[in-house]
Amino acid sequence: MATKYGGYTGKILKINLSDSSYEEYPFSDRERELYLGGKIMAAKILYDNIKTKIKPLSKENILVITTSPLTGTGTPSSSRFNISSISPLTGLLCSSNCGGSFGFNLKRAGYDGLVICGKAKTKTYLNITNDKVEFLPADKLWGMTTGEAQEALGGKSGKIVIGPAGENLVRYACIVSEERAAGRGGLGAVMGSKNLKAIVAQGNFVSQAKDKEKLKKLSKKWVKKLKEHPLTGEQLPKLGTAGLISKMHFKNLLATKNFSYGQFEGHDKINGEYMAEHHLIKNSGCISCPIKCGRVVEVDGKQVKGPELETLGLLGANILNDNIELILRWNHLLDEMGMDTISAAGCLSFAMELNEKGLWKNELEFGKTDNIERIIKETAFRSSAIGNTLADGTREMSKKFGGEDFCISSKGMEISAYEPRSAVGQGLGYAVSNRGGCHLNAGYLVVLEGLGLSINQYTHWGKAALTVTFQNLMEAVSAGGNCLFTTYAVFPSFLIDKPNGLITRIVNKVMPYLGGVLYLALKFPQILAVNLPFILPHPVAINAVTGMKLNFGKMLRLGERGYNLERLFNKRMGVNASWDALPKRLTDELQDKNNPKSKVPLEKLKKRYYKIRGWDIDGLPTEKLIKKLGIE
Amino acid sequence: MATVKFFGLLRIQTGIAEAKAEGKTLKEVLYDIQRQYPSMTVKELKKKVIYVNGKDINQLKFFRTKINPNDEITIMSPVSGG
Repeated sequence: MATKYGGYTGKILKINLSDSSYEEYPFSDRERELYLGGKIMAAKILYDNIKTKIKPLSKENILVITTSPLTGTGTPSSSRFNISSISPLTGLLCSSNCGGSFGFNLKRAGYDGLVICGKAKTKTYLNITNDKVEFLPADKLWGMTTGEAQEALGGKSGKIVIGPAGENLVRYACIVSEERAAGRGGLGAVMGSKNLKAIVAQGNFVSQAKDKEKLKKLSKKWVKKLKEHPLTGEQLPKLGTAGLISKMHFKNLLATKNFSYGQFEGHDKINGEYMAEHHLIKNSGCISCPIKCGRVVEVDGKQVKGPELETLGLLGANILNDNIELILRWNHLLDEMGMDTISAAGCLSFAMELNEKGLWKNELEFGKTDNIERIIKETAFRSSAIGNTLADGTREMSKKFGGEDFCISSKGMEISAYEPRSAVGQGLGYAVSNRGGCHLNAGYLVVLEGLGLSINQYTHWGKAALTVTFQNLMEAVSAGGNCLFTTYAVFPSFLIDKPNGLITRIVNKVMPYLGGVLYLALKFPQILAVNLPFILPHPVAINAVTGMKLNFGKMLRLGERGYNLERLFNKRMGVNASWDALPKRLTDELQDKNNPKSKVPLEKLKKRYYKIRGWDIDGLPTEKLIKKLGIE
Repeated sequence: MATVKFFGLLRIQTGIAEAKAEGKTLKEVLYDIQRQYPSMTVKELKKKVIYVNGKDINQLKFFRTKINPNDEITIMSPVSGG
């Protein structure tokens, strides 16, 4: 279906693995205006095609891979692509975003997205070249690690692959592209359940922007801004996300001993500084990214991807391990096995506490590290009783052994490394997030509550409105195709550069009281019908590429539409307010016995959040809201 | 003498992870650091996130915060992203 908009190929390919057929999937320009691309486009496709509750690992589940209008246009940090499906971990819609070159190459093949249905009769991989789709035998690839499989597939094409974890239906198996991963939610197991080992894409399509000159000028200024900003120009390239570990410790945000505490004595042995001083070989980045946040380290004489802060925190502080060399090894192993490091680590720490409390006698103990590598492998292959149990995730483990109060997950997804009792807005986000315990889908309020800025981390004031604003904005930026790290440059440099400056202190004090103003802006985004490219260049870039007429307000509305669409999909899967929950450890137990506010006041925050979202008391979008957003 | 620990880019750029410095107030300690390590100027150090015994100086008396010999001061470049 051709499109009048630039940036898109205008074609989405529907592939049926059951009978090895393929056809074009219809997607209109009206739908492009409403759902743009990436995760929102994928949510729309899933919403239109899955109308009842189904089993995530059945052939009825659909895997949707989407690019965005900015993918392949050379706009800064725009090589990302999205994979969505029903998650075997949560049973809900899950979108997982990935860097690397697959999105770029899928577009080169001439497709904005792939809709993969059915189940292949035998082990298969797909080779997509322009108009040709080949269904090829994957017997020789089956059993290979993600690195081995990519090497065996060879060539310069874009690839996504699963590892042994995906083949063995580990509920948090990921999908890997180069050294990057669509990590969360177990979408690798969905591929495995379809007997699909890999997808390869290549072609000759060249994405054309409507206004090339405007895009070129904007991209040049944007790259300069990203390079000059203290976060995207200095900290992320030099320390990576790992540079946050010690800051999290000092702010009581570093999940420690299965989220029992927010501080870890050994933080300075597992932080980005230590990694830079002892292990870093160089930094690396995705195509068209000037930030280059990736770490390259050495494991067994081989240059491999270094861990992100979530992995360092959860395989470090959260299991009481201060040996970074082990974390580098485990991180590489998990990538090779094709397993999400956050969920894998969450399962380990939960198992350790279950053992400590005598609820499940097993060989895992806090601080004991000599058996972890073996257990990771046993989990990926489901080759032992303990591995098979860990492979099903913490929610299933708690059904078996108890420990619900310290089962650190939301909607079945293990929570990432930020301890939310010292960032209650982040806690709200974890609970209401559409995909479960994900820090980004949560709204990432922790960036205001102690990382980038330092607003009061314990107050409930303003947190619901800020969460909704950030969720909507990040949803829209992701749908456009940019890496979310580009949004950090939205914060004026002086707020970051001068944390003790008068203006920063005033902003920190005042921001929680801006909830009312944000509420109005969210209710009437038309009052923000402006474009401020020096603050948020994203809609300006999308306009230059597509020829659409987005602005700040319309981006917020677009994000709101996406977030609500995902919620409506989840409603079909049974979600309501009772799903927006956190374990009692985070809502009822104080993190600091001397600070009565050091817990997440979830019910109070949820009530306000639903009101601002325009949801009913059961946490569901009202008919009026659905109509207003134009969701059909 | 107070113990001063450095984190973030400041530590990577200077190669200094830890130092000993003296002063009755935080401001004096910063001047002592500048004296010992001229590449770290007070003007630049004041732009960093600073904790005294784990407490943000925004919750204390900023650069007028009293320092005792056994205190631990943390000086950190601003960070974000995750």
